[in-house]
Amino acid sequence: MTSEVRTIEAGTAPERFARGWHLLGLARELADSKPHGIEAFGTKLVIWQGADGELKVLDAYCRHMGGDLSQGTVEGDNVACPFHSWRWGGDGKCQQIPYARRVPPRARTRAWPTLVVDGQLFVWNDPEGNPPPAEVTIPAIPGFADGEWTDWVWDQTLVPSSHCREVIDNMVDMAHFYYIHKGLPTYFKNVFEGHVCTQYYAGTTHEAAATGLPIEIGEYEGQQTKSDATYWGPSYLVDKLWNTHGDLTIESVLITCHYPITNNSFMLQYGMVMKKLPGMDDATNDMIAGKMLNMIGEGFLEDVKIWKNKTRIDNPLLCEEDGPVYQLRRWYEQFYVDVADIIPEMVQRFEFEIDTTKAVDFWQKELMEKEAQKA
Amino acid sequence: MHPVQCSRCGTTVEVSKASAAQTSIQWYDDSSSCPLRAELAVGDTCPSLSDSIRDAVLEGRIEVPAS
Repeated sequence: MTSEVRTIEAGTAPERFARGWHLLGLARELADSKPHGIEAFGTKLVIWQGADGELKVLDAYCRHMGGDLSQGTVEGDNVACPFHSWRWGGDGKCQQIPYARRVPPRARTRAWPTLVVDGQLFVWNDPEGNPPPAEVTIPAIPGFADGEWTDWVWDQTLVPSSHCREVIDNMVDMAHFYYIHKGLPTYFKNVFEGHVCTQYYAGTTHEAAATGLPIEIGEYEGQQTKSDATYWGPSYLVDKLWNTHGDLTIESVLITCHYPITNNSFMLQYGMVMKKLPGMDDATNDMIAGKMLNMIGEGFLEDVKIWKNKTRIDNPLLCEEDGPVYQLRRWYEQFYVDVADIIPEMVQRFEFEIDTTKAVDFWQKELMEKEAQKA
Repeated sequence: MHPVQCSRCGTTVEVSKASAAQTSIQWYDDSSSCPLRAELAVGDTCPSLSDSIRDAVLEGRIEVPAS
């Protein structure tokens, strides 16, 4: 009976790109005497540091004859096109054409509003062209400016054939942490409100669960891994992490973020700072942070493998142990409509805690059986 | 979904439970109507509201399917 078969509705990815702050990269990688090019938002951007020390972002293609400004040079505060040396300022205005008596009126290209927080460079994307409202800014990490944390360790990976909604879906996907990331979530809760979306996660590891140790289900505190992860807008996830090994708890902040390249590809970036461990020098602290990020990066590559092979699905079939995918997507939709078209359902507070009892019980038994087979 | 009014501030939310440990809470009012909200982390459930939900479960005003 075909009528009883569930059909996948793949839908189509939105044409526009999400309204919000998007991290392009670390300032330390971009603040030199050269222009840098980044494919993003369906075009190419040029980023450079002017003589005034500020990072500036424009559309990379010169409005004169289409030259690529990121292949040009930095001249004072401006970027010069490699084709005819037209000089563009960070405000998007053409400042000078060295061979011309005057600059044509209305010689203006698209300038992207920028923000630097804790050494991270963001640009504001808004299809309606409005400036960023103050209440959607990016939070700084408390103590970062005072040297309490290591410097950033950072990496990125291209996701070539998926819309970035795939990475957002992970926010509510309790079970994939077991199957993809070698975790065993025992506590899992989401909250959506306004432009922020939070995931509370606590759990243990496969290795620890396989020993048969008793697991406290439904407790956020006291677990081996504890995570408090918040999306500030559509693309920038701040994950406060606590990993406990015996008496030692390592505190870190993991950033997972992305910028769209096209509406079917995106750059996934992830970086970490770790609260410096007492009694260790900076080099050792940096090394530990680097190792932690490498392990996390391996996990992201597993996600990418899934995304490369899966289909887009607008009507996922869910069980009670799955998180609130539809409510999450309702929240995410606010970034793809005009501000005037945001409806209350997209931004009203919604809280959802998963019952992990059955999952933890099943997973621990499975891990213990595997362990017994090894012996 | 079942309406639950917070005994502290009077805000009404809708609550459903798929099991004893699973809870969904949909707010309709602006959550700043909760006097504790400003002091809580964004992901924290208001403790007064949690108490009111627990009472509603105990009094049978919220259906909890047997697991």
